[in-house]
Amino acid sequence: MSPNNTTGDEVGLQAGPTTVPTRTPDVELENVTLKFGNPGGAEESTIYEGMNLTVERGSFTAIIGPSGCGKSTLLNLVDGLLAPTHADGIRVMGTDIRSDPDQTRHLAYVFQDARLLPWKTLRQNALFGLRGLSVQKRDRWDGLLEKYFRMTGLEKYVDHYPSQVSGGMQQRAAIVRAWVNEPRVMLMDEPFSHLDEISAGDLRSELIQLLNMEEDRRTVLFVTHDINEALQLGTRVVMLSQKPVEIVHDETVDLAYPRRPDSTEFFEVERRLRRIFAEKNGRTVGQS
Amino acid sequence: MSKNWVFQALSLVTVTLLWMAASLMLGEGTLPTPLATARAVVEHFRNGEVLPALGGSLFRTLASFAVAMIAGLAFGISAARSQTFRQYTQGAFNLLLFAPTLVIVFIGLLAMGLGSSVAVILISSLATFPIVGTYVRDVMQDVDRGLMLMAQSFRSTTRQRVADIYLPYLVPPMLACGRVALNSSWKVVLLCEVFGFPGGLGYEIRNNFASYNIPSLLAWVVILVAVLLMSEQLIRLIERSVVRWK
Repeated sequence: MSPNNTTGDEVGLQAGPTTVPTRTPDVELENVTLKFGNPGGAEESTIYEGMNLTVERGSFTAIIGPSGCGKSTLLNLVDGLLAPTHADGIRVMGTDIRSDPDQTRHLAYVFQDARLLPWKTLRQNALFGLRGLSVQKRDRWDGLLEKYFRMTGLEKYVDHYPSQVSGGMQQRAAIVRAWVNEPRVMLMDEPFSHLDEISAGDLRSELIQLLNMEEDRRTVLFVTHDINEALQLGTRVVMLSQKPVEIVHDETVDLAYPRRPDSTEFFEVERRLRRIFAEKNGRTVGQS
Repeated sequence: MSKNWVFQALSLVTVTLLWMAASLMLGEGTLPTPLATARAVVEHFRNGEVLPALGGSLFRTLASFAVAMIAGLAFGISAARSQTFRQYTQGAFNLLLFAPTLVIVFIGLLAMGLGSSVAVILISSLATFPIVGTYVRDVMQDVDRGLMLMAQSFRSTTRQRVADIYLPYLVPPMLACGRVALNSSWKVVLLCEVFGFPGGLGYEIRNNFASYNIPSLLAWVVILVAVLLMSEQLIRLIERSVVRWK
């Protein structure tokens, strides 16, 4: 099934703040195949077969799919952490990352668990991100750190070690580590799944606020197993199948922010997506 | 005074009391009292015997410890990074690791000769470095893959990964390993001195044993234990300052 096979018109909602694509897509996967194991052997496993996906600039694309289908693998492919078996293109801002790996410096990754260095303070962890990607000039580092730690409410904890703060704060620090680089694209792999629902809800709201604060809205590729979360955040929801992965549904979400899961409009879209998911994957997913 | 220190002091008092009781039961000729031993310790200090003996043993111990740590680190890192190297060296390494220390000491002394400080340092390093190598190899293989993927995602350089991930990751287990290695170095150096070196704490212990001077023998043992306890405290202090983040 080809991507973008459905649109927001089918959802039947009023237009929200969705960004209208006007430029080169920020991320493009073209005819990507990924297989693990010995080629042709009994243990060969096909994750993707001819996968295509285009992510427009400024969009918030939520990827949902059954557990273990390869959602995180998709982010790893985009970030160059994993090489495809075959691909006609894995492009970031129009340039293939395999011919120009430096192109991935426009991306920053927030993992499922915070993955902070436990021997470094929150500030030093954010510095690790700045030093690594090296996209920001050194004289801006202090200002950027101050800005993003303040925006995430962590300014009083910058000299704390990860073990001295809560899980929610650790994940905020991981977001800061990525965001201080002011990347064109944020890759987020179920970043709130390890948190309690209240902390996760707070962080979702903060994430939307962070995105809305900036004039040139960042592109977000957000993996989740939770349809409710995908709908709270995404301007687009892409639904994946079991392996070999296909895009079984692709929908623009035209709900205005802040989104209220208890509103009728939200509930209707969520219910419909759950039904589609069950039809395509033969089971329910992401009850929250 | 912290609770920890109180318990440590109580433990020492208990050992001294038990020692005194045993001494009274066995007779001072067989086991001198703590007081008689303390007098012998003071006597050794007065005669100026302690510093040369202790200094010599300490030098040989620290030198062999340093060699064992460097060789162990080099071996451990190489073994963790290269399967070929690991497989190629496995047999010889296991031989050293499981060979009784006494055998290594005897063969080493016979091969390299008695009375040489270099020989003692090499033998002690040879007996200790497999312990360090095993530690480093296992810890290196255990580095959090999630952190390494994160570092890769942030395009960190090899230098950054070594300085910010590998080294801090290695420090706590290396301190624990350092403690074991230091104890091992002490023991092997003492054994070498007992069996074939004309100086150091081991030599003094052997001489006093040969002349059946038990108070003096025990005095040297007390001096040795005091030094070991001090080095243990030093390592603990370093450990506390280095792993504050824990």
